[in-house]
Amino acid sequence: MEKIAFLFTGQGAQYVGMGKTFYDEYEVARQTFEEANDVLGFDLTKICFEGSLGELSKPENIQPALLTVSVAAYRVYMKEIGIAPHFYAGHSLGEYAALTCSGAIRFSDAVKIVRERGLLTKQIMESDIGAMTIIDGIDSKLVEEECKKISTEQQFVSINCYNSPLQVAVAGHKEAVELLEEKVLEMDGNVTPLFRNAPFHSPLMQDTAEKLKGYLDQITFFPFRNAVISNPTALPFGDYGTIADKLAVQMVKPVKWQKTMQFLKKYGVTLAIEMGPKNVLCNLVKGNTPEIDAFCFGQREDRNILFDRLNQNEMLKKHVPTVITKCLAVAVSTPNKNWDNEEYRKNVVEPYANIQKMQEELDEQGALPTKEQMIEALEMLRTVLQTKKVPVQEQIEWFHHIFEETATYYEFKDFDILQENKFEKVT
Amino acid sequence: MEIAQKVSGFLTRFFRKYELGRDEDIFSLGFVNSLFATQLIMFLEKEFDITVEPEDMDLNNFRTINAIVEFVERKKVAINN
Repeated sequence: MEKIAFLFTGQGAQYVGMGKTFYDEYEVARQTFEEANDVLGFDLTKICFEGSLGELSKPENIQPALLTVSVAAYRVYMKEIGIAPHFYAGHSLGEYAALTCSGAIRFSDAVKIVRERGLLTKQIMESDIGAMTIIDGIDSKLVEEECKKISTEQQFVSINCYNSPLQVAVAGHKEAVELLEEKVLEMDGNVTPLFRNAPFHSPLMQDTAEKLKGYLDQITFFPFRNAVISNPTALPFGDYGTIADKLAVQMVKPVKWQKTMQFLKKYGVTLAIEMGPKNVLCNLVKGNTPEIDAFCFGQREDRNILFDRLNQNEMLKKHVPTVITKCLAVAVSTPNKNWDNEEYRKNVVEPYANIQKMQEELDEQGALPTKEQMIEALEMLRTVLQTKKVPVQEQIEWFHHIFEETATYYEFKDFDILQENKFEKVT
Repeated sequence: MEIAQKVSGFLTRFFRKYELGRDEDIFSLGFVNSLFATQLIMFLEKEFDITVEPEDMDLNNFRTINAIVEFVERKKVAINN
């Protein structure tokens, strides 16, 4: 059986023009870019598609830019293929896109968070104390040893990304990083210094992590639709109430990508789909778990292969939800707290039966629902949830997931349950 | 400092001990990975105040020190006109 994981790239995957094909060809991608522009208050699209790589790569630009391209890619996939993954994992900054696509963070909030994270990164870079370098061709144990030898209390360097058996990244104080680079070259390894990059995932980011935590504490998080594997632990996030803490920890702890790939392999993943502009993580799949097939949805040839492979898989396609099948599923799977039989019959049993009948007819015709039918189903679900006395925050969560999972978020942006509460934190 | 020297200076951080000839193919030596190109372009844009357009993204523009120098000169002429 096909078991899918979605992978989301971090910094380093960018190029000018990234995401443009999606933008030109798919409405949902355009809407995603436009939402990001609105949230940011400036034209992110222009920075992505025109101008210099230097401008795009500024931390305050690249972080929202990569998030937006990744989420746009994901939404195009959900619209065109729709087969949900079993797992999500994002490398470094990519973790924010993974969380967004799993439903745990609203896209507009994620844009705000990574913009803030980018501005905080900029401060660190202006202080110019840290550096980061990719190291290829040397075993991580040896790199660890060399880091220990070089580091003092005032000047230190440590591994900040365990990418694959033969690739790690290191970060720390500039002088210490350069000393390590020399050592690596002596040992016949290769180095790729990342210029104008912060010493992410190292103790030098401690202050930044604390400031970021203050920002994250104001965000409303949602339950996950499927597990997201966390960078510092290489295990699923677990309780969504801990996301803010874990994202703050992620700033100062190494990314365990090698272990993340091992985790996905252990749980039977057969297909990894990189939701980003370039096949950076696909290369790491080859280096870690060559038995897992990897394709980059941002690249046309790969995308066509995925369209063929997945859209012809009737077993999996059968389970792709629509707004109506989701509404029916949620209506029956939420517990009831209303013991007024008459009210229950009138506001739960009957409306449910009507929509069920509608779905049966659609099944017979092999047709997809119209927008009017979707609205009918959504209204049925709202009545059912209210009658069952499901808490308001939980109702909001259900609708949030239905729209995200069926890639209909922009079509139902004005749906009133989202409007009245505007998703504000219920305290 | 002339362009070639600045570019060599940048590349030294990747190669350190290896004496890179001006016509030597940077990509065929096996010293650089896929993230190198991004770093090189960011360096060129900043150092020489040019913008590398998507249509400039041809490996042949960046294959050797001499090719990079020619590319930068061409870009600078385009800006000055």
